[in-house]
Amino acid sequence: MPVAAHRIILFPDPLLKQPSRPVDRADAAAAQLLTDLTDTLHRFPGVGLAAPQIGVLQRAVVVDITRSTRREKKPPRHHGLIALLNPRLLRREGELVFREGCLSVPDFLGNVRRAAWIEVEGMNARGETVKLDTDGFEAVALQHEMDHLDGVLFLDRVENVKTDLFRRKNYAPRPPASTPAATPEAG
Amino acid sequence: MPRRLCYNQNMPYYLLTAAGPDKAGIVAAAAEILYELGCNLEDSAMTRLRGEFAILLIFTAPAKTSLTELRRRLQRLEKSHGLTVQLKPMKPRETLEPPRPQRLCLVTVYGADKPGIVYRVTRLLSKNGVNITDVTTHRTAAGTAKGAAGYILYLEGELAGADTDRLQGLLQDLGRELGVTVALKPVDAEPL
Repeated sequence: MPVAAHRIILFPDPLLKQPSRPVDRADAAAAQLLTDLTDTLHRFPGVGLAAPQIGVLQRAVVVDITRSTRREKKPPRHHGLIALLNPRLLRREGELVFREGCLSVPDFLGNVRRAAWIEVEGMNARGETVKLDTDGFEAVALQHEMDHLDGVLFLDRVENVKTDLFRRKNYAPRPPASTPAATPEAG
Repeated sequence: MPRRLCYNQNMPYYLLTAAGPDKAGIVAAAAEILYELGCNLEDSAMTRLRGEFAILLIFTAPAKTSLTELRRRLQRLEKSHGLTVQLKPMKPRETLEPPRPQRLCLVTVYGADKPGIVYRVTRLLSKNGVNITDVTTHRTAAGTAKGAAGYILYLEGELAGADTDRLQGLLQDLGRELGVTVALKPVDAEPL
């Protein structure tokens, strides 16, 4: 059963380094997990969240890049709320470097190289197989969340100290873990 | 062979280090003084750490400008911007770019904060001949009242003759002992 939502597990909690188990079937508990993730995401200024970040080691992610308030223009192409069980990367193409943050690693950013285009397959809350492809910011967010399911943080993917690391530009006091932070970031 | 970067005996080199509370205009103020003195800005690294801004800057000055004059003018930054300013004349050999390293590595360490992470990791590296060129560290706030603070250390170094596999093994052992995630990966730095 999913634990209570609305609390985000923060680095250095070792839970974030654990691989997650596949979700066996899209039953009520799995649907509730996706609801919990979505509810929690909506309470924080992030564009994505993975189940380990709310303390559940199961393969479930949500991404919604329309929640980003930082970008001047909404990306031309997006899927709105993506909520997937057992997401799997089918294909990837190209490369892009994106400056990422994480709701679980507050106050720290790093430039990470990701695939520029991906095709992903997963299962929705009704147990239907969903296949989608996406690029740019949404592709970055999905890859970031899927990494969480393997216990991988963006900290593992930074490649260069001199240019790939940027401290967060705003050192405003961080609110407690149970309340939203000040800026949007990938989960 | 060290590469000589158009070192000119007539243009002595200086290293300026300055740090103070961050606010808009620090770089402009320092650059303005150097510009007015006819100096050339060469290499620099400037960054903000929390509320402090720090400058590390190499510049050349006209030979006729005395060290006393440079100091006098740059020390105005202490009053105008609250900076602590130090100026060091560089010896000719200090102005040379080191030879291009054959192999660079990136070491990443992260986990629960505890005393000695930086010390133990860098001591291991130095004992194995790694010359560190860049370091960034960050301590995250504790997540909960009883939760530990997190520590992130990223550093880049020149491997020299170090055996990468052996070094990776030693770092893994140290990571297990300290309870942190440690990785060493080669940095590709090819001119393309």
